[in-house]
Amino acid sequence: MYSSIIFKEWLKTRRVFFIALALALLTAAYAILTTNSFIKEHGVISLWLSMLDKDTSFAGSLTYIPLAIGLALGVAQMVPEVTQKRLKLTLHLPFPQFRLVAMMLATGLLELLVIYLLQMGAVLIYDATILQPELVGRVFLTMLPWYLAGFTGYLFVTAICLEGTWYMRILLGLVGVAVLLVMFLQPNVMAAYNYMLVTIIAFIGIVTVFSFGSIARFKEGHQD
Amino acid sequence: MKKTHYILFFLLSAAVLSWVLPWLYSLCFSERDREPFVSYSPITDSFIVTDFEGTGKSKEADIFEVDPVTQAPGQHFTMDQRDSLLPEIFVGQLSAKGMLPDSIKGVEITMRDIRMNSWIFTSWPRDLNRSIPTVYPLMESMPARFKFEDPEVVLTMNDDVEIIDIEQNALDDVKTSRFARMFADKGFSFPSKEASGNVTTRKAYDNGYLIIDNDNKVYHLKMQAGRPSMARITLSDTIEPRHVFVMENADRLHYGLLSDQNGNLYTINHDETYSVDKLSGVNFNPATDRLTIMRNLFSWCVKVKSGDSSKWIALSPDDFSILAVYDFTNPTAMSREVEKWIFPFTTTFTKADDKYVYPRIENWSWQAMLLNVILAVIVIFAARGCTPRGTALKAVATLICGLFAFIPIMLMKRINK
Repeated sequence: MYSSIIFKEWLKTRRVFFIALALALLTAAYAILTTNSFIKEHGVISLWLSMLDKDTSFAGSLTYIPLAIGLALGVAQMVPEVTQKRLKLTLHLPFPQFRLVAMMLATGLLELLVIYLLQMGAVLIYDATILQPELVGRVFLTMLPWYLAGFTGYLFVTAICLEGTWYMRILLGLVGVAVLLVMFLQPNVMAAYNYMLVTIIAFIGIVTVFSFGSIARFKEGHQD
Repeated sequence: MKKTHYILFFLLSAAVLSWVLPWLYSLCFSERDREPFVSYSPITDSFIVTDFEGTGKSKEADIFEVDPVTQAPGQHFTMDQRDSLLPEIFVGQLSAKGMLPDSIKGVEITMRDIRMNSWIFTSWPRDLNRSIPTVYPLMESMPARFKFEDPEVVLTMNDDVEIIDIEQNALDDVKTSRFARMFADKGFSFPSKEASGNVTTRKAYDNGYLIIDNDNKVYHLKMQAGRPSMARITLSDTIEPRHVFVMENADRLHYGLLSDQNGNLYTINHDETYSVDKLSGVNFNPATDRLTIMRNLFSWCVKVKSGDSSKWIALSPDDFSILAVYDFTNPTAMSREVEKWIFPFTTTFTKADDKYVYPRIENWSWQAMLLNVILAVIVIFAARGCTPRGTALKAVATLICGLFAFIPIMLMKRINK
């Protein structure tokens, strides 16, 4: 049953997964090429000094990509459930409902994780060849909130899609926008979110519960 | 699960509103801070205040002299008169009008003298309250062609001193061993707590780094012809250094500034013994206060801005004794007063004084309790059909969080139906 559910989710998301993966890798390549061209033009010394003096991570072009991917994957995975009324059928499967939703979310989160790891890994591996480990660590800490925002965005989309009423969807959407805004207040200041990472992870935990809550409400008949 | 969902949604909504509502309020009702321009006049030997009174327009500014003892406003001036009283600041205007005096206080002056002996130093909390890398670019202080070039190596002082070649992204063994010997000879204690340098090629000379080691000893380090030049700065036992600031002014009189645990500020003088002088009357915490020093031929004008209060201290450039003091507190804006009656507290994620993003709950206000009580009563009346325990919990939440709890409670009434 587990593999069937995963396969069902994969069928829904595979197209978006591959497009998102291509986008992630292309943008990573763009960031690397931009950095490389900066080095060719100004030298690696200027790159180090820009990072140390001006707080430049040279990965700024990737800032909103993880969020866009998270939102797109959430929509691709959950909108068919809603628009084609599949959710009712899904919930009637001979499988515990909350475990079912957990499997659906886990599949989406795993796909995101693969995309994010490949994108971040490409940038950081390149950086490690030209930068000192401490500076690579700073780039990692600068990028990390972007990916956590991607997971948060995905989870908000799933909660909104699984919710049965427009009223609650709008409330969830408004709170979601505000939470995501917090994650992009200073996206390109190096390591600005160091003291906030635990709070962001707590946000992700809370938003995960919203999807289960939406399903619970749906089951109780809260539908437009 | 549904109950957990509602509780978490309520908590998250309240948290988000405690940030969004005060932010929207300040966006709608923000008022310009009143920040006068204050400078010490060598002509009148008193502070000259240019108070824009919130307009920000120079033409409408109130310009007056301040009594050095009582701080009471004295004679009022026009803008042209003000320029003549502050010749070191408005040297350009006076020179253009042919009104620059030949001498001040019996000392013959030229435009060059004024420019060579004038500098401004600023320190913002934001520069310190951020994630600062412990990798320090190290400039060559004695370049072979007498022209500064971008540093080719960086210095780290974590477990040991390391010199890293930037181009190779690898340890420079030769320089590292030279620096390691020097650091060991000088008794440096790792890791370093702070290092201050000014890495730019656009300067007349290089003062290298001022460094505080793990035992609060202060060092001066430069790289000259690829070799370390290092000196320990001897401080009195009562001075526990907290922050150092390197300076490279045209007058070449100081290596930099040093602040201690008591908020005192010292100059590190450009002499063989690295003597230090205390700036009298200055109380400065670099982590919270903004510091501006305007140095000119006849005085040091030090401004320390802490919250809404600013203090200007004019010091003699010879012995740093106090010449005059002026205090100014920005009056609390009406919008802030009103805000206290609306919001019981506010959440902010960013501040002007640092470069971090994290939640800070502040501005607790007991005045908002009145509104909170009214909202709590509304919540109780509106909670028809709710259990007594649920009603009590909602009322308590509204009493504490006011609007931030009231809005989600009222909005969530409908989703419970």
